[in-house]
Amino acid sequence: MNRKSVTIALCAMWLLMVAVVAFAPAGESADAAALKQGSTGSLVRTVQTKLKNWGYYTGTVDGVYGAKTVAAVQYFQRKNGLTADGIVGSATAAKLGISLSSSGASGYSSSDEYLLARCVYAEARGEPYTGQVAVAAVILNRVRSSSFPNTISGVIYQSGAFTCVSDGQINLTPNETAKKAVRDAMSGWDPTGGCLYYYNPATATSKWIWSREVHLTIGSHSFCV
Amino acid sequence: MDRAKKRVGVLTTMVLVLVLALVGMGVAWGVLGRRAEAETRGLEAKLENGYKQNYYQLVYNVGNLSAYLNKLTVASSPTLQMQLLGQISVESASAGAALSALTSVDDDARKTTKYINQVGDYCLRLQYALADGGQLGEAERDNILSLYTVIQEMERGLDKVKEQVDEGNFDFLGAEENNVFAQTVASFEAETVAYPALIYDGPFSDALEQAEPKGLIGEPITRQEAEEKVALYLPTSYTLSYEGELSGKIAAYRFSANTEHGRYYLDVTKVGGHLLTLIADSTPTDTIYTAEECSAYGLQYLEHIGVADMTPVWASNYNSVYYINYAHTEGDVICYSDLIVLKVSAETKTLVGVEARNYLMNHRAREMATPTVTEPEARAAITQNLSVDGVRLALIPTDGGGERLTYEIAGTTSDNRYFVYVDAATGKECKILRVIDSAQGQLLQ
Repeated sequence: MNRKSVTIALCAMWLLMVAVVAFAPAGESADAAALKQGSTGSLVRTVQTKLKNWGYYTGTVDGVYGAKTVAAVQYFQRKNGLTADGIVGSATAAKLGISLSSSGASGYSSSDEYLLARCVYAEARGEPYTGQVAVAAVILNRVRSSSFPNTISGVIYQSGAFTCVSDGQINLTPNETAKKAVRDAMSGWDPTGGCLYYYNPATATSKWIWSREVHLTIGSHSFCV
Repeated sequence: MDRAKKRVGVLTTMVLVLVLALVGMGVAWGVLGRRAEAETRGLEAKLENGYKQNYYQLVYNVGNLSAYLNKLTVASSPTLQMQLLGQISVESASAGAALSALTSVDDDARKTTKYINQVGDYCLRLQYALADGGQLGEAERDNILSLYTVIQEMERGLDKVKEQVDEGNFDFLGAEENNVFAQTVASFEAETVAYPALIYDGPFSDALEQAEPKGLIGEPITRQEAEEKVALYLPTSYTLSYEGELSGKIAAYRFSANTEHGRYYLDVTKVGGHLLTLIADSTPTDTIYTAEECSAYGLQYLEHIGVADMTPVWASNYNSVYYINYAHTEGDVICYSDLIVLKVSAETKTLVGVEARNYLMNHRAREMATPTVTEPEARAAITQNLSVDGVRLALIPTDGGGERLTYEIAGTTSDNRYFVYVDAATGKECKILRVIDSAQGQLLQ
């Protein structure tokens, strides 16, 4: 496996999410996590296949969410005690046994996002919200920097990089706040203005870290380059 | 007498039991202890072997890098040059992974890591250029020679460690501070190593680190003036506290504001008093407003704060918050570098976030080139399997911080949605983005 190509893909991904996120004609439907009438693609195909196998759907499996698919979804929802709105949101998706994220397109964005959320939760759960976004941003700044590993997992698991990795706290389940903070950082928010390090002045033991130029302080963390 | 005998008997039994118990415990202790010791040794061996594996990997990759760079200095056919450049970027990626497994953040192997990453990135860009019909010029050949000189030094340094590792005299795990490996890495970090400064069109280019904000127009302002600006940026009543300063490329005053919708953090730039970032910890639970309604609201907000000519280009809904991207529009060209992202609550249609760093770094008056390729020509340059639903001109950022005028062609195949970009000057297809569904809404890949 050519790691660089993954790296480049990741870099491209950041560039997209951060600098460009996306190029779509204005007025594009935005509520994309849910599938509804008009949706197309492999996920719709999966929904149709499942409904057909279970006898809810009689149309063709064509990947187009048309009126027949809506009717089948409503039928499925009524049978399963869900609101029969004909839209596959998270609850219906769960009952169908599909994950709206498993498009088969790319697993890395979700799994890396979750790993990042775990690190943020373990490192900064007691910090103000903006301080949590800042910790996520520092990790992403390292991924983008040529002086650090080029993947989120590479940066997080680099030896000595984060205390939460050495003491095992990284394995705690992150809360919603940490996940939101990660989403913000991945969408371009960086309260640190490009910092690559942070430390807690009350507990930091490394002499070296004190020599870095501090850009700002948020909560109990000093952020530096 | 009998009683005394009995007592002696009981005593003897008790002593015997005690002795037996002690012996048993001792044996158990010994066995368990040895087992624990063996386990620890096993774990240590595993760790040590992991280090050694990475070490030998690094030596192997650096050796190959050295050989390929050397061959590149004499290769003259573009075909062979491209092959070597491709091999170099593969070796560099592998060397980078091995090096980061061997060093810690505190070891400060930043220059070494940067060099190894840059070698791969730079050679990959050269490969792209050759694939596009370009040639290696004088400057590129000089750079390759400097890169080769540095890699030779690294090769020699690693050789010193190799002697000890080969003879079994060096344990990474048991190594004291300033061991031979640490010293070697430290020597790569020394000022005397002549790392070339590489300016090229790639994500690890030195040009990116040197970039200065282009959109930071206006005069320096005081903290007082920045406070007054907050009234413009926060369309609600609030009580304000000063939170300190943000230094760096875009210096700013930071404030926090308590509002009825919760707490907001704002960064107002010291030059020009622009809004750099706004963050709120919002927790909407319901999606009431549509993306269209929220993006229209966002557009009004941008006009209100004095940012004109923006077009919403993408929106995604995450936890009942719309993340909406707005790009500057120059005539009929969308400028994707000049990007502002707004977060709007889908429950209350109120602003919960602003990120304008990209806009302030890139926005400026541009001399827009006229496309030499026509729209039908651009359409003809891409796959005919795409059913096209829109074409427009777009100025897109390149990896190294440059910009390129393109036709953006949106379309679908039976399975996927794509955006295909065709260079408006050369007519060559230059980038493809694919829309992917994820738990976080639609993303581009």
